[in-house]
Amino acid sequence: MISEALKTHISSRVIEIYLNGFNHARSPIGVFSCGQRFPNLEELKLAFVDFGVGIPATVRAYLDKPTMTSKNALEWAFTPGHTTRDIIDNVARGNGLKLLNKFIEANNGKLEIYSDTGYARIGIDQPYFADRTIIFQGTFVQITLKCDSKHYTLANEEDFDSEELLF
Amino acid sequence: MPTPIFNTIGAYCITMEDGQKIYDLIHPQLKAHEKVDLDFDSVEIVASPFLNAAIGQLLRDLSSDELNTYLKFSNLSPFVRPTLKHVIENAKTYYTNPAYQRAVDSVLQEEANVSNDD
Repeated sequence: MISEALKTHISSRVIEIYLNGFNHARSPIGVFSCGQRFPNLEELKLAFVDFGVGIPATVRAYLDKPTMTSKNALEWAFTPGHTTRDIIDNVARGNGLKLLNKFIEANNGKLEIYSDTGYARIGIDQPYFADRTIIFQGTFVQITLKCDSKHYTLANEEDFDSEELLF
Repeated sequence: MPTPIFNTIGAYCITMEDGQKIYDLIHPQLKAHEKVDLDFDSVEIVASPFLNAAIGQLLRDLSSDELNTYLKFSNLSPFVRPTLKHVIENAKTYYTNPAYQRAVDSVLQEEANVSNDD
Protein backbone atom coordinates (compact mmCIF):
# COMPACT_ATOMS: atom_id res chain seq x y z
CA MET A 1 0.00 0.00 0.00
CA ILE A 2 1.08 3.54 -0.64
CA SER A 3 0.47 5.76 2.35
CA GLU A 4 -1.55 8.93 1.80
CA ALA A 5 1.46 11.04 2.71
CA LEU A 6 3.72 9.26 0.24
CA LYS A 7 1.02 9.41 -2.44
CA THR A 8 0.73 13.18 -2.18
CA HIS A 9 4.50 13.52 -2.08
CA ILE A 10 4.94 11.45 -5.25
CA SER A 11 2.16 13.48 -6.87
CA SER A 12 3.90 16.75 -5.97
CA ARG A 13 7.14 15.64 -7.58
CA VAL A 14 5.47 14.17 -10.65
CA ILE A 15 3.57 17.42 -11.17
CA GLU A 16 6.95 19.14 -11.52
CA ILE A 17 7.56 17.03 -14.64
CA TYR A 18 4.21 17.96 -16.13
CA LEU A 19 4.93 21.62 -15.45
CA ASN A 20 8.31 21.27 -17.13
CA GLY A 21 6.60 19.75 -20.16
CA PHE A 22 3.94 22.43 -20.42
CA ASN A 23 6.24 25.36 -19.64
CA HIS A 24 9.35 24.47 -21.62
CA ALA A 25 8.55 22.18 -24.47
CA ARG A 26 6.23 24.28 -26.64
CA SER A 27 4.71 20.92 -27.45
CA PRO A 28 1.75 21.24 -29.84
CA ILE A 29 0.00 18.19 -28.40
CA GLY A 30 0.64 18.81 -24.71
CA VAL A 31 2.03 15.97 -22.62
CA PHE A 32 0.99 12.32 -22.81
CA SER A 33 1.35 10.23 -19.69
CA CYS A 34 0.70 6.69 -18.62
CA GLY A 35 1.68 4.56 -15.68
CA GLN A 36 1.48 1.13 -14.17
CA ARG A 37 1.93 -0.19 -10.69
CA PHE A 38 3.61 -3.56 -10.23
CA PRO A 39 2.30 -4.77 -6.84
CA ASN A 40 4.67 -7.72 -6.46
CA LEU A 41 7.69 -5.56 -7.17
CA GLU A 42 6.22 -2.63 -5.20
CA GLU A 43 7.14 -0.44 -8.13
CA LEU A 44 5.37 2.33 -9.89
CA LYS A 45 6.41 3.15 -13.44
CA LEU A 46 5.36 6.44 -14.97
CA ALA A 47 6.05 7.61 -18.50
CA PHE A 48 5.65 11.06 -20.03
CA VAL A 49 6.14 12.10 -23.58
CA ASP A 50 5.85 15.36 -25.45
CA PHE A 51 6.66 16.21 -29.04
CA GLY A 52 8.06 19.64 -28.32
CA VAL A 53 11.42 21.12 -29.20
CA GLY A 54 13.32 18.92 -26.72
CA ILE A 55 15.46 19.88 -23.74
CA PRO A 56 18.78 20.21 -25.69
CA ALA A 57 17.31 22.64 -28.24
CA THR A 58 15.81 24.77 -25.48
CA VAL A 59 19.10 24.89 -23.57
CA ARG A 60 21.13 25.64 -26.73
CA ALA A 61 18.85 28.54 -27.65
CA TYR A 62 18.87 29.87 -24.11
CA LEU A 63 22.66 29.74 -23.74
CA ASP A 64 23.20 30.79 -27.35
CA LYS A 65 25.44 27.78 -27.84
CA PRO A 66 24.19 26.17 -31.06
CA THR A 67 26.95 23.57 -31.11
CA MET A 68 26.44 22.34 -27.53
CA THR A 69 26.00 18.56 -27.47
CA SER A 70 22.72 17.07 -26.25
CA LYS A 71 24.64 15.34 -23.47
CA ASN A 72 26.09 18.62 -22.19
CA ALA A 73 22.72 20.34 -22.52
CA LEU A 74 21.03 17.71 -20.36
CA GLU A 75 23.82 17.96 -17.78
CA TRP A 76 23.30 21.72 -17.71
CA ALA A 77 19.54 21.29 -17.23
CA PHE A 78 20.14 19.05 -14.20
CA THR A 79 22.36 21.62 -12.49
CA PRO A 80 20.48 23.21 -9.56
CA GLY A 81 19.14 26.69 -10.25
CA HIS A 82 19.43 26.38 -14.02
CA THR A 83 16.25 27.18 -15.88
CA THR A 84 15.43 28.33 -19.37
CA ARG A 85 11.98 29.57 -18.47
CA ASP A 86 11.35 33.24 -19.11
CA ILE A 87 10.98 35.18 -15.92
CA ILE A 88 7.67 36.69 -14.85
CA ASP A 89 8.17 39.74 -12.63
CA ASN A 90 11.73 38.65 -11.89
CA VAL A 91 10.79 35.60 -9.84
CA ALA A 92 13.58 33.10 -9.22
CA ARG A 93 12.98 29.64 -10.71
CA GLY A 94 14.81 26.45 -11.49
CA ASN A 95 13.96 23.90 -8.80
CA GLY A 96 11.93 21.26 -10.58
CA LEU A 97 14.59 18.87 -11.84
CA LYS A 98 16.73 19.20 -8.73
CA LEU A 99 13.82 18.35 -6.43
CA LEU A 100 12.79 15.45 -8.62
CA ASN A 101 16.37 14.26 -8.72
CA LYS A 102 16.65 14.23 -4.92
CA PHE A 103 13.35 12.43 -4.59
CA ILE A 104 14.38 9.75 -7.06
CA GLU A 105 17.70 9.21 -5.30
CA ALA A 106 16.08 8.99 -1.86
CA ASN A 107 13.49 6.62 -3.20
CA ASN A 108 15.99 4.22 -4.78
CA GLY A 109 14.16 4.97 -7.98
CA LYS A 110 15.29 5.65 -11.50
CA LEU A 111 14.70 8.51 -13.90
CA GLU A 112 15.51 8.22 -17.59
CA ILE A 113 15.16 10.96 -20.17
CA TYR A 114 15.48 10.72 -23.94
CA SER A 115 15.42 14.09 -25.66
CA ASP A 116 16.77 14.83 -29.12
CA THR A 117 20.01 12.79 -29.19
CA GLY A 118 20.54 13.18 -25.44
CA TYR A 119 20.08 10.53 -22.77
CA ALA A 120 20.11 11.05 -18.99
CA ARG A 121 19.80 8.49 -16.24
CA ILE A 122 19.51 9.40 -12.58
CA GLY A 123 19.27 7.11 -9.58
CA ILE A 124 21.60 4.25 -10.38
CA ASP A 125 25.12 4.98 -9.22
CA GLN A 126 26.22 8.39 -10.47
CA PRO A 127 24.06 10.44 -12.84
CA TYR A 128 24.82 9.30 -16.37
CA PHE A 129 24.57 11.46 -19.49
CA ALA A 130 25.25 10.41 -23.06
CA ASP A 131 24.84 11.33 -26.71
CA ARG A 132 23.00 8.76 -28.82
CA THR A 133 22.92 8.32 -32.55
CA ILE A 134 19.12 8.03 -32.68
CA ILE A 135 17.11 11.24 -32.47
CA PHE A 136 13.89 11.46 -30.46
CA GLN A 137 11.85 14.45 -31.63
CA GLY A 138 10.60 15.67 -28.29
CA THR A 139 11.16 14.43 -24.78
CA PHE A 140 10.45 11.03 -23.25
CA VAL A 141 10.70 10.60 -19.49
CA GLN A 142 10.33 7.36 -17.57
CA ILE A 143 10.38 7.16 -13.79
CA THR A 144 10.54 4.02 -11.69
CA LEU A 145 9.62 4.50 -8.04
CA LYS A 146 9.55 2.14 -5.11
CA CYS A 147 6.04 2.78 -3.85
CA ASP A 148 6.25 0.98 -0.53
CA SER A 149 6.72 3.41 2.35
CA LYS A 150 9.40 1.22 3.91
CA HIS A 151 11.66 1.96 0.94
CA TYR A 152 11.29 5.63 1.51
CA THR A 153 12.32 7.74 4.45
CA LEU A 154 12.15 11.48 4.43
CA ALA A 155 15.46 11.67 6.26
CA ASN A 156 17.13 10.28 3.17
CA GLU A 157 15.87 13.10 1.04
CA GLU A 158 16.60 15.98 3.34
CA ASP A 159 17.67 16.30 6.93
CA PHE A 160 15.65 18.94 8.61
CA ASP A 161 15.18 20.49 11.98
CA SER A 162 11.67 21.83 12.50
CA GLU A 163 13.03 24.60 14.73
CA GLU A 164 15.55 25.91 12.23
CA LEU A 165 15.07 29.30 10.61
CA LEU A 166 13.88 28.89 7.05
CA PHE A 167 15.10 32.18 5.62
CA MET B 1 -4.53 35.15 13.08
CA PRO B 2 -3.65 32.38 10.58
CA THR B 3 -3.92 32.93 6.84
CA PRO B 4 -5.30 29.63 5.49
CA ILE B 5 -3.94 28.93 2.01
CA PHE B 6 -6.75 26.44 1.45
CA ASN B 7 -9.39 29.20 1.59
CA THR B 8 -7.76 31.15 -1.25
CA ILE B 9 -6.26 28.41 -3.42
CA GLY B 10 -7.69 25.03 -2.38
CA ALA B 11 -5.86 21.73 -1.86
CA TYR B 12 -3.62 21.96 -4.94
CA CYS B 13 -0.97 24.68 -4.81
CA ILE B 14 0.87 24.28 -8.09
CA THR B 15 0.97 27.28 -10.39
CA MET B 16 2.82 30.59 -10.23
CA GLU B 17 -0.49 32.38 -10.74
CA ASP B 18 -1.88 30.89 -7.52
CA GLY B 19 1.41 31.61 -5.76
CA GLN B 20 1.08 35.24 -6.82
CA LYS B 21 -2.33 35.43 -5.11
CA ILE B 22 -0.77 34.38 -1.81
CA TYR B 23 2.15 36.77 -2.35
CA ASP B 24 -0.28 39.66 -2.98
CA LEU B 25 -2.09 38.73 0.22
CA ILE B 26 0.88 38.53 2.58
CA HIS B 27 3.50 40.86 1.10
CA PRO B 28 1.83 44.15 2.22
CA GLN B 29 1.42 42.80 5.76
CA LEU B 30 5.05 41.68 5.95
CA LYS B 31 6.25 45.02 4.55
CA ALA B 32 4.30 46.71 7.35
CA HIS B 33 6.04 44.38 9.82
CA GLU B 34 2.81 42.62 10.75
CA LYS B 35 3.06 38.97 11.72
CA VAL B 36 1.74 36.47 9.16
CA ASP B 37 0.93 32.87 9.97
CA LEU B 38 0.64 31.03 6.67
CA ASP B 39 -1.44 27.93 7.31
CA PHE B 40 -1.02 24.89 5.04
CA ASP B 41 -3.85 22.96 6.70
CA SER B 42 -5.81 20.81 4.16
CA VAL B 43 -3.32 21.62 1.41
CA GLU B 44 -2.38 18.35 -0.30
CA ILE B 45 -0.05 19.15 -3.19
CA VAL B 46 2.58 21.89 -3.25
CA ALA B 47 4.84 22.39 -6.27
CA SER B 48 7.86 24.65 -6.65
CA PRO B 49 6.35 27.19 -9.11
CA PHE B 50 3.71 28.02 -6.51
CA LEU B 51 6.34 28.49 -3.80
CA ASN B 52 8.62 30.52 -6.10
CA ALA B 53 5.87 33.10 -6.56
CA ALA B 54 4.30 32.96 -3.08
CA ILE B 55 7.42 32.76 -0.89
CA GLY B 56 10.66 33.03 -2.90
CA GLN B 57 9.56 36.36 -4.32
CA LEU B 58 9.30 37.86 -0.82
CA LEU B 59 13.10 37.96 -0.70
CA ARG B 60 13.12 40.63 -3.40
CA ASP B 61 12.55 43.42 -0.89
CA LEU B 62 12.41 41.73 2.51
CA SER B 63 15.46 40.50 4.40
CA SER B 64 15.92 37.02 5.84
CA ASP B 65 15.79 38.53 9.33
CA GLU B 66 12.48 40.25 8.61
CA LEU B 67 10.97 37.08 7.16
CA ASN B 68 12.24 34.88 9.99
CA THR B 69 10.69 37.35 12.44
CA TYR B 70 7.34 38.06 10.83
CA LEU B 71 6.48 35.01 8.68
CA LYS B 72 5.47 31.75 10.33
CA PHE B 73 4.32 28.53 8.66
CA SER B 74 1.68 26.30 10.24
CA ASN B 75 0.82 22.72 9.35
CA LEU B 76 3.71 22.53 6.94
CA SER B 77 4.08 18.88 5.96
CA PRO B 78 7.58 17.38 6.30
CA PHE B 79 7.25 16.52 2.63
CA VAL B 80 6.76 20.16 1.64
CA ARG B 81 9.51 21.55 3.85
CA PRO B 82 12.46 20.43 1.65
CA THR B 83 10.80 22.00 -1.40
CA LEU B 84 10.30 25.25 0.48
CA LYS B 85 13.93 25.24 1.61
CA HIS B 86 15.18 24.77 -1.96
CA VAL B 87 12.95 27.56 -3.22
CA ILE B 88 14.22 29.92 -0.51
CA GLU B 89 17.89 29.08 -1.15
CA ASN B 90 17.41 29.58 -4.87
CA ALA B 91 15.61 32.90 -4.36
CA LYS B 92 18.33 34.14 -2.00
CA THR B 93 20.99 33.55 -4.65
CA TYR B 94 18.87 35.27 -7.24
CA TYR B 95 17.82 38.32 -5.23
CA THR B 96 21.01 38.94 -3.26
CA ASN B 97 23.33 38.91 -6.25
CA PRO B 98 22.47 41.85 -8.53
CA ALA B 99 25.07 40.89 -11.14
CA TYR B 100 23.72 37.33 -11.31
CA GLN B 101 20.15 38.64 -11.50
CA ARG B 102 20.94 41.09 -14.33
CA ALA B 103 22.74 38.40 -16.29
CA VAL B 104 19.94 35.86 -15.92
CA ASP B 105 17.22 38.40 -16.70
CA SER B 106 18.87 39.74 -19.83
CA VAL B 107 19.44 36.29 -21.33
CA LEU B 108 15.97 35.10 -20.37
CA GLN B 109 14.41 38.20 -21.87
CA GLU B 110 16.20 37.50 -25.15
CA GLU B 111 14.93 33.93 -25.05
CA ALA B 112 11.39 35.16 -24.31
CA ASN B 113 11.57 37.50 -27.31
CA VAL B 114 12.69 34.65 -29.53
CA SER B 115 9.83 32.48 -28.26
CA ASN B 116 7.30 35.25 -28.95
CA ASP B 117 8.52 35.57 -32.50
CA ASP B 118 7.79 31.88 -33.26
